[in-house]
Amino acid sequence: MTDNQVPDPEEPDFFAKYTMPQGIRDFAFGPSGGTPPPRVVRPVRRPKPSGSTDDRTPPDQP
Amino acid sequence: MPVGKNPEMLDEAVKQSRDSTRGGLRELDQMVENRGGLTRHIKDENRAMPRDGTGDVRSRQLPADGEPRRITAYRQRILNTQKTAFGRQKVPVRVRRAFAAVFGSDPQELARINDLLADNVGDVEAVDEDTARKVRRVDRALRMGEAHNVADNIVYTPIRPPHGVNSGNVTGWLNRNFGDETEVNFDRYTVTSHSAYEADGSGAAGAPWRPLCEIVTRRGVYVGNAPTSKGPHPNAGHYLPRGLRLRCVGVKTIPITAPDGTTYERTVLQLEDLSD
Repeated sequence: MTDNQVPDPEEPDFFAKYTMPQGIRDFAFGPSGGTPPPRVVRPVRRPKPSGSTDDRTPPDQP
Repeated sequence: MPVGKNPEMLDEAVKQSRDSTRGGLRELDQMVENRGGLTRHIKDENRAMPRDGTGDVRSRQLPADGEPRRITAYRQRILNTQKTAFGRQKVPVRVRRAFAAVFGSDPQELARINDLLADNVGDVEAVDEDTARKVRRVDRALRMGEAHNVADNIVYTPIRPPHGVNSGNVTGWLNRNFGDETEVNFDRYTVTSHSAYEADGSGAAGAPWRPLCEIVTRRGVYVGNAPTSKGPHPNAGHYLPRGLRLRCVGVKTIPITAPDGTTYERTVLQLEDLSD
């Protein structure tokens, strides 16, 4: 059996024969594959201060 | 074209809402576990996320930063022994059918289910009945398989970064979003490999800056292939269950050794199990 074939699930020894198929491998590891990362947060854009637009005061520390 | 959803950036409020929902689901699962008079099977059927099916497993550490990553024949023999033990176990045919439907030759069903799980923060109760039944059966298969794990797994999977992340800023992006001790949750099933080289697209992925996750976890099931000759077989697949809680422990540049003996470098996000 090649990696491209998935054994018949009706066979009791299915899991002994099962190997990650090529389609799943390409999906996960191929050029356009990959796992989307755990959700990440878009950086918050600080609103521009009203009035002067050339205020170079550094932002507050978190 | 990529199969399944593309990565996206979330607003802080959306992320907090998702974290809160996920936390609520874990609390509900704990209530199910604490409730008396229910069989193990009934409890498993009523959980939103699958429980850990592993027993006592030997602890393993991530390799040293400069140690070339490659799966050894010794390690793969251990994994093959686990797989053989699982293969001897009686698994209900409906569980085998569900697993074959999700992890079959065509990845469309896996992508569909993974996207649903991601949309619903891993809550299986929130998806349609047929899909929920299938997901619970796949959960059961993975739980039965991981009961045979004897040691922590060190596995790899590529990260598909969101739009705007490229070779010039990928390390900064990882450091900004995944600092040490950051908790991350994999709501979906994750396809990984014990071979960093395999997870990297066998060196031909075409995106040399694409980062990998390097995960040390007791969870999941080895679905690789037994080597028939000396040396490791290139198929070292490993499926991780959904609902996995991990914590970030580092962003590193590590060497990977290809089967031909050449070594090259990749950036990895290191993760480890976060115990309940």
